Amino acid sequence: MRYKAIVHDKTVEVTFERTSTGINATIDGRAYSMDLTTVNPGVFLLNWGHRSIEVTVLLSGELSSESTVSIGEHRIPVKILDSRRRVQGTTRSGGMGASEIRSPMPGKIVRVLAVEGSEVEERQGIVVMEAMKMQNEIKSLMSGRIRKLAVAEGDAVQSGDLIAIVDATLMSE
Amino acid sequence: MFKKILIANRGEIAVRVIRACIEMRIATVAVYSEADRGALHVRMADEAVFIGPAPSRESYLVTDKILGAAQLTSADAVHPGYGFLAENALFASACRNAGLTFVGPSPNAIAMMGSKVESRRAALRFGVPMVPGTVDPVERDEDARAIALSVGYPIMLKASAGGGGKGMRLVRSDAELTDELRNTRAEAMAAFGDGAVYIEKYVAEPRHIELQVFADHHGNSVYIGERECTIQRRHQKVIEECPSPVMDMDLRQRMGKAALDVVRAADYTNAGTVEFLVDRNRDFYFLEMNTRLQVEHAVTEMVTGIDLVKEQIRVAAGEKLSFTQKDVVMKGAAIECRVYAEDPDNNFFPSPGTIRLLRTPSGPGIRDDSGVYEGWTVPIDYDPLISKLVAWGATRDEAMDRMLRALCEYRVEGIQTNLDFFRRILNDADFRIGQFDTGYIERWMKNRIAPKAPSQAELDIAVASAILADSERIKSASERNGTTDDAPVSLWKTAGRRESLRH
Repeated sequence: MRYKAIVHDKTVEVTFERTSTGINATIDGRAYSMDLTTVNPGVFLLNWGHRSIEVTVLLSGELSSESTVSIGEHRIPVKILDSRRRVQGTTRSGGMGASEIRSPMPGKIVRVLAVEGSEVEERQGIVVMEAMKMQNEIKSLMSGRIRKLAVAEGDAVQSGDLIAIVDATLMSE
Repeated sequence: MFKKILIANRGEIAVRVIRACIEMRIATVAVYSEADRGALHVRMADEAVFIGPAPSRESYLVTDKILGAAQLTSADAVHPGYGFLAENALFASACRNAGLTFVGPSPNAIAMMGSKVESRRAALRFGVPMVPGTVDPVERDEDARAIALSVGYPIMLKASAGGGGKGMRLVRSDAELTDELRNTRAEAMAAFGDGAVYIEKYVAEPRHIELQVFADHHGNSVYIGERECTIQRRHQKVIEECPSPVMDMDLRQRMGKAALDVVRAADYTNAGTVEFLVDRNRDFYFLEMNTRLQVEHAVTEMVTGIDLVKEQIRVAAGEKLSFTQKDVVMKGAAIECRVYAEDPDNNFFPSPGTIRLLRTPSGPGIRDDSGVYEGWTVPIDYDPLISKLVAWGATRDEAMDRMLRALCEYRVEGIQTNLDFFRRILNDADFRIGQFDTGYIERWMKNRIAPKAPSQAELDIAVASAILADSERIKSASERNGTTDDAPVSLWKTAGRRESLRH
């Protein structure tokens, strides 16, 4: 299978196949052959050239193609752009290379820092939210353009409410 | 001894008290709010009583609901844990009036030590060293000026009704005094409804060291070593250890004696903690007394082998202390990290949510006092403390190495935690040699180096793993869809066949 994915703001070309004991993958031409043991759904033990690597994959949502992969002390966001799910017709509302920013908890929007249509950098603040007596910035997960800003100053939001949709700037396109 | 204890708390501290009760063969009653229906402390208790909506002022802070639950279940004592009603004198006396034993000090001792002015006055009577300054609020600016000059600048202005770092101002010179007095009074009035302000000499680069004390109802009192609590962020303790790296036998004995003087001044019983500031010259000053078990009590337990919670219960039941001062022997060193659901890279923003994966550390010297489990949703309504991780070692170095090892074993997915923050502190050169003061975390946050970026191979393997998880999920979904119609039927059939074979 061939895929495209975004990792750390960069689009990569992937080939991926299961073998009898593990997986073979190439990422932008770099080849990996690894043994695989599935510990739990989403928890994998990989053996790559005798290196024992445990990874945990958490999907952002039920039908999401965005996930956070924990490997060692790192947490790496990965977004799959081309996968079978699209062939099966369960397309994401966000579209190609878009990221939905949702409220992590109930709270109140106290300040809006960006406008619809503007460019944002990765980790740039989009709104300031007050929750649990603290104010904090909700940031964009990737560089791109704000397609939709769903909240205004003073809005109360619930956990999971849409705050903004950011279309990624894809380096390879 | 008590037959049944109600624990007026939640989370890891309720679990801690329940564990002590089980060991003592005392039945337990948990109380829970709407948000805590499936909480670990509810799962572990023998009985559980629902006490209302998630906000604590409508559940865990309502005396009548707690007492009602105790009556309903015929409990004979109440353990308050810490936080919520633990230091509320009215709650302690309400328990007494309802015929319940409150596992803690008397209402009078709680009230006296709960007041900044009263506690300082009492400690002063027994000659306990205190930061030079005033005990009573200062009314007139001229008086303030005279006091400031006599103790010497810089000074601190503090709200009498204050606490938790609010209503405190540093004044460096006489020229700032009048303005800062006005500002502090206004701030105190706005925050606490009381504009009274007192003056203290400013202690530079202080360490925060506390003494664990214990007294029974038969006139026996002991101090059980100290805890180093200097590592704080916004006046909240982050890492605690026992013993303190700056302590020696002589200082410990002098501070222990002062702590026991405070115990006598308050006519104190049960477990308590006397907090001191220690300056560069190792002079110490009484700060306040906490009239409850502390969050960080486990480091003392690891080093002394004394179970403080069981001792609390025995003393509350009228028994004599089970040990004397000379029985208290400190062995090795212990460190505690408070594991929070919060994001240190995002200003320590709370990160409640569902724990999707949890693997807790174990092995030599490790103790994890947790209040959560895999699948549990950390509620947004309370302090997001999920666990207290404690490491013991024969030396401070070994304790630190074990802590670091345990922090790497600890896996929590689905919510953000401060585990990586601790890993980085435990690797910090100043922390390793025990050189820090209360400003340590703030300076460290400013100067910290960005965490190491993942390698190319790690990024690639992350991509492959994400695709792997995606394909596994699609596979298991289609398998489920393909078999839903006949699977249950065939299971019933096989079960039926087995039954008929047996007869």
